[in-house]
Amino acid sequence: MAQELLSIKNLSIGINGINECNDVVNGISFGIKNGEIMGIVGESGCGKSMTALSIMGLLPKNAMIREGSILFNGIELNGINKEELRKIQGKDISIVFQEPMTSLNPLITIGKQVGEVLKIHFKFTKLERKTMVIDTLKKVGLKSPEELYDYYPHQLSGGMRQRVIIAMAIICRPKLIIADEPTTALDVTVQDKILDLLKEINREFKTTILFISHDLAVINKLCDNVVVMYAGDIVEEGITRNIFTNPVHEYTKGLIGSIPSKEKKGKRLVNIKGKVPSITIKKIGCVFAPRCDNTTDQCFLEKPQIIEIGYRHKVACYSTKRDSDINNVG
Amino acid sequence: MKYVVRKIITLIITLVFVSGLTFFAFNVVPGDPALVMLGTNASPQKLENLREELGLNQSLVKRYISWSGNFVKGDMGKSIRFSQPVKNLIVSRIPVTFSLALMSLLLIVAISIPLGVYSAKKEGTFIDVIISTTSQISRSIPSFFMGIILILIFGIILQFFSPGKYVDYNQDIVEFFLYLICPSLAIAIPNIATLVKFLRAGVLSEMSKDYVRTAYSKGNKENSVLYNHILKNAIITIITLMGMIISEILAGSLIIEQLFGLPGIGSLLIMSVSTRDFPLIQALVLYIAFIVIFINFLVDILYQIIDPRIRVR
Amino acid sequence: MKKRNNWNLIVGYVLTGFIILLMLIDVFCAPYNPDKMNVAERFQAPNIRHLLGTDNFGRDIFSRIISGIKTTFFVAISTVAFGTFFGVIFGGIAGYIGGWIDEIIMRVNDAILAFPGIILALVIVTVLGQGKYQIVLALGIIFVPSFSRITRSEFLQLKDQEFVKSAKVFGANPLRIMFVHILPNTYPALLSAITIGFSNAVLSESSLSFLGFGVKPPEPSLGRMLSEAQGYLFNAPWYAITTGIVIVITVLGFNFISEGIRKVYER
Repeated sequence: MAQELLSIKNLSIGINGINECNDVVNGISFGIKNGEIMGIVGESGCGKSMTALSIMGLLPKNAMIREGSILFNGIELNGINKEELRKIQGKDISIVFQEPMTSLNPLITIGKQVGEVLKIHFKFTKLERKTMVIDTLKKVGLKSPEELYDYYPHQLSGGMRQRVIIAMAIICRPKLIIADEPTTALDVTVQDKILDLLKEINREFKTTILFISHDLAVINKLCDNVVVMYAGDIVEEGITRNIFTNPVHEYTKGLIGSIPSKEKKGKRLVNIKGKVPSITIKKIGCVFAPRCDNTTDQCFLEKPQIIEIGYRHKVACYSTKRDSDINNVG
Repeated sequence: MKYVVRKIITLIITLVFVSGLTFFAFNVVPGDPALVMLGTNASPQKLENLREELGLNQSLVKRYISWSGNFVKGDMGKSIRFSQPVKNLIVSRIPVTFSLALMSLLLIVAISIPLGVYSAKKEGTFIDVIISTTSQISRSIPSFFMGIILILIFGIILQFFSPGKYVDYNQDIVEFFLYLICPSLAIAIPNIATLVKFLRAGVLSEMSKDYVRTAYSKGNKENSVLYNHILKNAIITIITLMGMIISEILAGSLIIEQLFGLPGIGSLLIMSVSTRDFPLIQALVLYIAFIVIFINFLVDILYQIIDPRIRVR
Repeated sequence: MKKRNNWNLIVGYVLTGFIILLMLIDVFCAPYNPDKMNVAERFQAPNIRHLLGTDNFGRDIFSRIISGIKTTFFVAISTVAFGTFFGVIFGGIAGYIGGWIDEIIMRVNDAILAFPGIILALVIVTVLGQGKYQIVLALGIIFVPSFSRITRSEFLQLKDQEFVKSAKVFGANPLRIMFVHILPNTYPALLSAITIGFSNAVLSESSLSFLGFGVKPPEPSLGRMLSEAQGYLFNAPWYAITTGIVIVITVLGFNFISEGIRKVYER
């Protein structure tokens, strides 16, 4: 039975506004098993990026973990001291960001930048580092890596830069790679190649990947499991295939319904009415209720707990109870 | 390429403009330049000789061309007051000004970089406020007053050195440099203040950039991010300011040399202005213009070395 | 949103106000005639009768300082006025019309800026001679490029905006567009530059006077006073210190005001 590599329990992240502190993530819990590719999907502002940053210890100055536990490989990351965290960053957990155009230092060669991770965590000689870097650059699909070693970021295209960043992320063979919308800023053709690369990395090195995106189609292509987030809460989670064939939460249904595909040709795309609530508004009851078509009074009074409704399929919605009640009648 | 061409044009215009301004200005002065230089009691023969010597009987433009032509060949004219070729005067005084400028520059760079980075790191804290206020005050102190304060503190109260007792470099080179410490400080301090302000702003604006986040995600320590990543980018700001700083150092040396009694180019210029020694003034102005252009040129090369994005491959 | 006090402006106003107050004292009720010599009372340290002591001629230092402020202000204001006036004209033309006029103006600008200003000022003073008005002209000429550059960049940004286009449609001629429509929108940037210009002008004037090329005696000048005071650092250090501090306060005051203005328009 594969172990849980990352276990998040009751995580709440708050942002300091001018007068108050508001939560962008409201006590979520989920776990990733070793070797899995897990996706977090949701609209902008739902808290998925904040969750990723909090695992890495890279939350911006005005944000902080208010409560909860982030257990990585048995180590508690919430509240860990800086020295210990630095040993993990880049070596055991690495992160790939969304913007390849600005995520590299324009004044340092890419060879040196990729090699920097090795320099920080290991005691290799310069030559050993260079060899490993060139090797990794080759692995991420970059042609003529010996030449590229001395190139500067501005000499590379967006897709190439993203590969360099992935090279930086895998060179220490980390246990977990967090990918925060790594393909959003790339062309669609390049997107596919990067996704294939990540899949390959997961297959070859058994690296666990946490993949964050707002694009369900991408999640479907890459991820084994998926967590659906809305306004700081997890509303549904499960095996990707199940979620797609059998979505339970109205929000998930809406998300899937809004993906264009040839089956829907001629039909209207589903549009979820309303918009994401601001983090400053105090929420009572289910966060999604105002936009949901299938509500009862209970939905507006008390937040639904997340319950397991199938094999590794969990949902936070009163409709499941209603459905099971209906099914149990008689 | 266009950038380089534009720069060169600007620099040539500076040269021509400045030297032309000086040359024509002196020769447009109402009255006879020879008369002005020798005084009204000079004999007509002397005046005529001077006019011949200065070529005053030729047309203005012709004179300018021959003068600047000679200058480039090494003949910078002859000083009236000192009765020496200008070249000799300059050569004997260059080491003083050069040493002063170099020391000031070293002080400026060595102090403002750590201070600027440190105050950016401690943004918003009490110490940051102290550094900012101190630098604000330092920028408001004219260099000659700064010099006077330093003389007061180090020369008179603490008696580290004797103000006015300049030691020639030919006699005792160690004492020479020691004597230059205070003057260099006087020039350096206001410039350090300016540089710290810009550096702090530069570092702060870099800190919120994406590549910094990437650097932290690799497990870098804060100081390592600051010095290996951010500083490189912030230095570009400094290099842009370098031209201005060198200009300030040259301007400062004028005043400071006078204050501390240093026999450099600056005090020579001042002497030449007070005695209306036109040939000397002209030559010095053109000479300084050359220096300014040369420095600007060096700065541009430095720029190309540091920033790979604008390198001409 | 809480209103935060603009400390820079407050401190700036206080300091500048203090200096102006001193100037007013000189105009209305100076304690002594600044030129009145009284050898019997030379080199007195600050005391009740002579607030800041006396100099080598027995002249009251306090009175001398406050009369020197007049000159400083006069030169600073005139210089900045000169620089702004011509700077705005040249910069506006360069920014609005563009083309080779722009190139020429900018090249000349850069040429002047590249050179240490004080040296240019010295040259001009050599030609024109010393005196209040000559200094203003010399410094003014050196200040024009900075104002010109700022105006030009503002005009460049503003000339493509909607209100300019609509003014053109209404048939306004270029001169009118430049100075009636665009110029008022450049006030924030110009204001900042003007206040910094004041402090730089004060520094430049006092530097020139210190070297002996400033205003002619008997016109009072803080810079020249400092150069005299330098000679008496041993016996009467308060002479130099007080004079210098007054210059520093003046410059500081303007610097704080310009920081304050910058913060106001930062958003």
